[in-house]
Amino acid sequence: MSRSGEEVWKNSTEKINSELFTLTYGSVVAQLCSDYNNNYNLVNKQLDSMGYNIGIRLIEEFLAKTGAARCHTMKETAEIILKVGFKMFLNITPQVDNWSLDNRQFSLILNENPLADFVELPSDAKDLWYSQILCGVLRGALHMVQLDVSVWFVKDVLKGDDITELKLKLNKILKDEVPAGED
Amino acid sequence: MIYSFSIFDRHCNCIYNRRYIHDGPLLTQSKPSSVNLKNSIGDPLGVSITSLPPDNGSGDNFSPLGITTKSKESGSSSAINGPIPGYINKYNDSNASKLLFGIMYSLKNITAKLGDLASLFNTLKSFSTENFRVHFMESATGLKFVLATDNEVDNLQHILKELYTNYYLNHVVYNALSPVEFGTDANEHGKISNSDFINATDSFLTSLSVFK
Repeated sequence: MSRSGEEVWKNSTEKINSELFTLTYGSVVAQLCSDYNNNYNLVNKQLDSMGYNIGIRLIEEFLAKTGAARCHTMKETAEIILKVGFKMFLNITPQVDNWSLDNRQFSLILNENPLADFVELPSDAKDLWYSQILCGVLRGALHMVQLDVSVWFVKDVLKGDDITELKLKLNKILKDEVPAGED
Repeated sequence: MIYSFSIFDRHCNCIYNRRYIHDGPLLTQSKPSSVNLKNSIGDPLGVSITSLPPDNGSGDNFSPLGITTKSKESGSSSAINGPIPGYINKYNDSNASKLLFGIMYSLKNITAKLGDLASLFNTLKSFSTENFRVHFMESATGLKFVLATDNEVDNLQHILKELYTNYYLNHVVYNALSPVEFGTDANEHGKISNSDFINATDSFLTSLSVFK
């Protein structure tokens, strides 16, 4: 039986000091900005790919700890990501909104974002999506359960928007691979 | 008695294959060694019992039940890896291993089609023959954990789950130096070769009362 995010967070998640976490992530982003000479598009890309590599491991931890089975609809997937995934790893529960008509795309509204506490972006960093790593994590984790998705930021309070909003779009459901020599 | 433990990844490759050699009484069920599986495919379950007549080869020509004698194998350095006799990652790409995958794959698909899909989700847990039982668990990420045992062993779902949630997670997923994607090429894929994982799963499995 799958467990709730609350339960996993309480009993099987190792907690660390959130300031340490926030500041560590901040230093990573700052270092990337300096490595790429403030070319923020490259920084976004790099954060995304780091997130992907985290995601493909994180999903195993997620499944091992929750015992979740495959979802049958995107609605179900969204529910699990929000109420279990975000809850157990970051202790936040984002809102889901703006479902597209075909139910393949939705928005994640982050009411709080532990990655971005204490952060003020410099005025020239308009192109930087500071928490882009989350997109990569979602993309990597979902890829491992056969969902090919695109994830991107559309709004960030750090940039003066009223909310922080991510879009998640299902491109296609990948087929389970079959052994060589079979159809 | 546990004969072998395998993990297949989502690219259908065998990323870990562990066969255990048992010292043991001659199995009365060794009769099936005359069945016509001989030579062409080897032994999918990787059953190895010592003190039986020697088999004339290894690899794909492994006898149908993989029976080897201790005297023959003790001279070979590859036969005994570590304190627990058996083979580590030796038969990953053998036809025997592919056959085992094929059996699980087909049974899994048949299983999923039994019953009404919408309300009843049916998964494969094990299948048994007169003398053997194969235990199976698949994660949502497509990792397949397979244990081959004799027919005395009833249900090993919790052991498979333990292998995944504890051992695979701690020694592969949390191990930044170990890949979690082992490559897609059927002939060139990676394997789990880190000794922590091997030792930990070995001591876990051998400590079980059903191992011997």
